Amino acid sequence: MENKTFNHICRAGIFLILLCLQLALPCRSAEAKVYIDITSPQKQLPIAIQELTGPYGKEISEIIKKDLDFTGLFFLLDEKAFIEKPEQAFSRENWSVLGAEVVLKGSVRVDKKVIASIYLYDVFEGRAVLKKRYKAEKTMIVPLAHSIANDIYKEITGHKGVFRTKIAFVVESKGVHELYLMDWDGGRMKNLGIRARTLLTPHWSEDGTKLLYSAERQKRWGIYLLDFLKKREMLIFSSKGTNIAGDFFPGGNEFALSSSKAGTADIYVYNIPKSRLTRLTSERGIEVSPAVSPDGLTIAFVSDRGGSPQIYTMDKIGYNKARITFNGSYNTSPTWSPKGDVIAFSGRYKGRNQIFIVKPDGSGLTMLTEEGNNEDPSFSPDGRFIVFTSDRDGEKGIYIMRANGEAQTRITPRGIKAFGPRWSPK
Amino acid sequence: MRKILILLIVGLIAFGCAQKKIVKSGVGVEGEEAIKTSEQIEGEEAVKEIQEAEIAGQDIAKVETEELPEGYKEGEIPSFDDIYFDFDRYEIKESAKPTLKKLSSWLIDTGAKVLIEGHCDERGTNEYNLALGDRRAVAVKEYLTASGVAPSKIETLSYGEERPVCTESNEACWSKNRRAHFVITK
Repeated sequence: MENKTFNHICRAGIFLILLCLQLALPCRSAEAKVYIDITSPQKQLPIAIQELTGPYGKEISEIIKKDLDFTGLFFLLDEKAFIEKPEQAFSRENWSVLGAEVVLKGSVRVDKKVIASIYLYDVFEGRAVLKKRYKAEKTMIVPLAHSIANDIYKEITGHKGVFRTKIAFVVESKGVHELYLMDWDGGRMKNLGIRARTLLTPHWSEDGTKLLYSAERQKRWGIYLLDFLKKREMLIFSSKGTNIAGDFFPGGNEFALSSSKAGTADIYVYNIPKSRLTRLTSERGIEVSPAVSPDGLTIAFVSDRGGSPQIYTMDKIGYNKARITFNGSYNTSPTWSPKGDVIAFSGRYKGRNQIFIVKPDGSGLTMLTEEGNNEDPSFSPDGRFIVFTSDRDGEKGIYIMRANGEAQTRITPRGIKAFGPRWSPK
Repeated sequence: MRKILILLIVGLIAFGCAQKKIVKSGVGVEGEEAIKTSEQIEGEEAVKEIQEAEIAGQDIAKVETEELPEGYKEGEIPSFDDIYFDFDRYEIKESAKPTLKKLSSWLIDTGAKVLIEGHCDERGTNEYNLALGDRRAVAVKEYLTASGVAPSKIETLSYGEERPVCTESNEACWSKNRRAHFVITK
């Protein structure tokens, strides 16, 4: 009896200790003030971003403002109303009259590298809650600014910001497709030097160091892996027919794909180290676009077995198939939210393709877009934003929005035909 | 004994938490002066340079693709018209059958090979259109093999919506793009 109780306490104790040591969150939430509960924000937090003094100060401040503003969680106070000069010391009275709850001040100097120092003040408490210095090469000013925004976001919400994440996508130019990478806000667009007659949506590895994509070269559809660390492209899988890469499974050894090697398009799983292909479906129709759930247990895919393309789910070995979309006659391009609680897809409504979200059990269908044709949805790693392709302004371009459909914004410039975006996992 | 153990555990928990505490207590580092004396700032962190600037276009082996002209010289082969499909369908329409009959007898007579390209209009989504173009090409292949053409003489390739013959956004144009196109290879 005594022994049993002892064991219980011991187990509970050890569990709590592990929880405390390994997860920053439970301890932190007990300590740190959370200014905005992002799971159910009651109001926008009034924040004053004072332009950082010194070289690049304006550029850095503008990026921070843009990052925080897009989240919809902040109310950015108008700079014109500020009483305090950027050079002056923080004084809570100068800000409380403006209704600011949080104030950012700071400075930048250049000493071979760019050094930015920032102070984030809690106006009510009258003290700095975040003090940090950042160093970067001059060419890295933009990521430096995004890092500051990430730290502010973390301090205020307790959650990790996505302002240093990337979006991979495809650009068509003169009949050739090329793979591109850009910041989450469309900044620093870069051609990766990967070309093909046709390239499809790239898929990120879990650690963000690799991209998996399909390319048609010399009339053959291959699935390729681009390794950023090795700076190398490898052909992973090729056969006759159309081979289209889907998502990686957790761990990165396996990925889902569709292939018509056996006649018509079916869903397969490919194991890279074992070079082993496993077939999951065998229908006479079309089975395509496998999307792997974050836990790796479920695959959402498109099938026309019911007469029109619809979203289905099945488990990793191809059992328990269930149809989850019933509205409309053309539902394609499924993708999972990072928590696995929602699937976004492109559905045809009144003759045009729109982005919808639905729960994996088929409930909670919501249309998020209205203008033009919208496809290729992909969630940000925190699940708060969705990137997608739209032709609402003429030619196809990349857009981002909040996961509830707010703030739909084009992030690739006009004059560039861009599509197939995928948000990086980190 | 039990009490001591509980105290010990609570102590450990508190310690664990304390370790995770974010150091940010105000030590008078406020305002202008403090900004200048950056030594007092805790938590300095260089912005890491992962995946930046290193992925230059030139560094990655480029795969250049070029379409080689293949097959018969002009004049030696009859031309086979494109055949068309309904929106989001891959069934062979009656109107396509004369062309397919002509093609199948020519393939059987000459022993030539054909590449069937499957195409779609722009209205579908990219990946599904590739699968649909593939399915259209396969539907044609199935029709030809049922007419006696050896499967080994037929290759299929899908271009999805990527190679339209008509670029306006209207049904007249879309109906021309929903097609199978024939390339005689050898």
